[in-house]
Amino acid sequence: MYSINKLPKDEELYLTLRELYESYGYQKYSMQKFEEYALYADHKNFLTSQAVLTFTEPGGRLLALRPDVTLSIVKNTKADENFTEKLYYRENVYRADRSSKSFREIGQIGVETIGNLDRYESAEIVTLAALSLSSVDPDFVLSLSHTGFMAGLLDYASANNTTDRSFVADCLRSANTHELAVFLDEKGIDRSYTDRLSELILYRGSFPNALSLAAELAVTLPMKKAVAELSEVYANLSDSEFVGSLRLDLTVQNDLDYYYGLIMQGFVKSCPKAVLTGGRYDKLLKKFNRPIGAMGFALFLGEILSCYPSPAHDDFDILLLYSDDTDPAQLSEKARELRSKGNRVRIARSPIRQLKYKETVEMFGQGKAGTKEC
Amino acid sequence: MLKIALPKGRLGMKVYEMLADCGYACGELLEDNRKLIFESPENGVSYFLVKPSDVAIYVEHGAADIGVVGKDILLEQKADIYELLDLGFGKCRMCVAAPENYREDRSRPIKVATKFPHIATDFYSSRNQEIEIIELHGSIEIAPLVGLSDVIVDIVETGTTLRENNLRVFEDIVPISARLIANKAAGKFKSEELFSVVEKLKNRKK
Repeated sequence: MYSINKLPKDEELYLTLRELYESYGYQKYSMQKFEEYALYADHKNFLTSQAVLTFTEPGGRLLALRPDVTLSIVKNTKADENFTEKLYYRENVYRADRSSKSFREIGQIGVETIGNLDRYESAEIVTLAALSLSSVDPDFVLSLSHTGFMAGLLDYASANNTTDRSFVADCLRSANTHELAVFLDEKGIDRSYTDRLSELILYRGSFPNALSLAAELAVTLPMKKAVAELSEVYANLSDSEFVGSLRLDLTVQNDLDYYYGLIMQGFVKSCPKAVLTGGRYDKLLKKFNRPIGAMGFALFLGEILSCYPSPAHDDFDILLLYSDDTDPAQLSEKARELRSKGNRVRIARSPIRQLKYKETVEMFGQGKAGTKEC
Repeated sequence: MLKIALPKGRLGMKVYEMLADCGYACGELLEDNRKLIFESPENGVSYFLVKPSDVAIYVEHGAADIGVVGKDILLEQKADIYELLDLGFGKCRMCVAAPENYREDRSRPIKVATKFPHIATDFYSSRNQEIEIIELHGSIEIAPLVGLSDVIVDIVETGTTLRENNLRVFEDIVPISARLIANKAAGKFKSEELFSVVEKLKNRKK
């Protein structure tokens, strides 16, 4: 029989993760491929790319091939203060990336929790993110940060205009401590503070040690609250088997218009880019006039597939050859017999050099079938 | 093995000499040949020589763990990488330059000729100024002289080329120099080797 380890990585991953998410009580969410374009036009900053693939349906509505799943889930959620929805999905989205001049279909597996969220739910989402990454590769890193820490830092550094805020955000995102130090010097921030901040930005050690450093640097209320929340989430996870793979990482960023609170990015050893992003996005719910919490993440299957290609398998197992004088009933019976033993059987008139298979069985004429290994 | 992308040319050789001084030598790189990939297993490093404007792409996509590239290219391409060190050479400035007698006409968009459309757009949008970008690929200084543009946004080193063509710098946008960049995943999974290179280069700079 065809077994799970013959499946491509994305299918194998989906089966594993579906079982994981359902074991936590999450329900599968399915959706149409297209939404009204207005949904994305109104929330452009939530999207990773501004380009959206649109078309006009016969009735005249402007629709889009969805560039994102979360927006659709939020638009249609049944969650409220008394009911928390926990959903997972496997869908394709359609995006043009920064360097490409064309659109691509990108597979995603994701998880969303929407409703009255407390510290348990935050820890649960982080747990599912870590377990999802470990299903891809046991050698993974889950980087956590908090938008409140960066927002507080921007205020502390008197980065009051868009240009300055964008500059500081870029410096943090790219771990550019040398230019950030010059900027903070100009703003009159004490050099010793800047040095400790640079140390935290570049820190590669354990989460608790990074948290201590962050606590030292938390000089404004939003920063103190951010550190407290990170500590609380960590306290819920400190006994988990993946705790050594957690990092506090200020280079993780999401759009501040939508995300507030815990944010994360996941990396696995063989992939050069993040394969998971997510976080707390209550602000998006507020934009839909829903005063409830939301948190989730998405795994990027395309990136994972390109870094973990499926091992080369045979295209099928047995090529069953026939000729004009082969009895059709005997041919069908032979194929059925071979398939009942778990073989993948293809019937043809002649060998197929473009495909790979283990053996050939010939049923020429009315006589006994002859076999040949390939 | 740490994979390092170096820009072909003078800048790349200068960076290689610095890295070799820090213990990352790879003798065959200095040989006169057409090879593009060089390995030194004993020093735990391999080098690629690539087009300068492609270094950040190799690093972002993980084909190289670290690379050296000008800040102008980083600002223009906006690659998702770590920028870990200003190497302190290859210094120049990104500037707005125009003919000596240029006067800004605020009643219409400014025509800007440049090889750096993103840098130019970001600069003028921070001023809320409307512009029309004319993207060129070389000899940008000619554009305002033949009426193709009002101004140029380009790299200025000594300013000689501008002066010889009766152009002058009107505004400095940002200082440029060679930067050491790293792939984000390598920063997590090869952090010891990677940051060891950074520290050695930093100490050498001092």
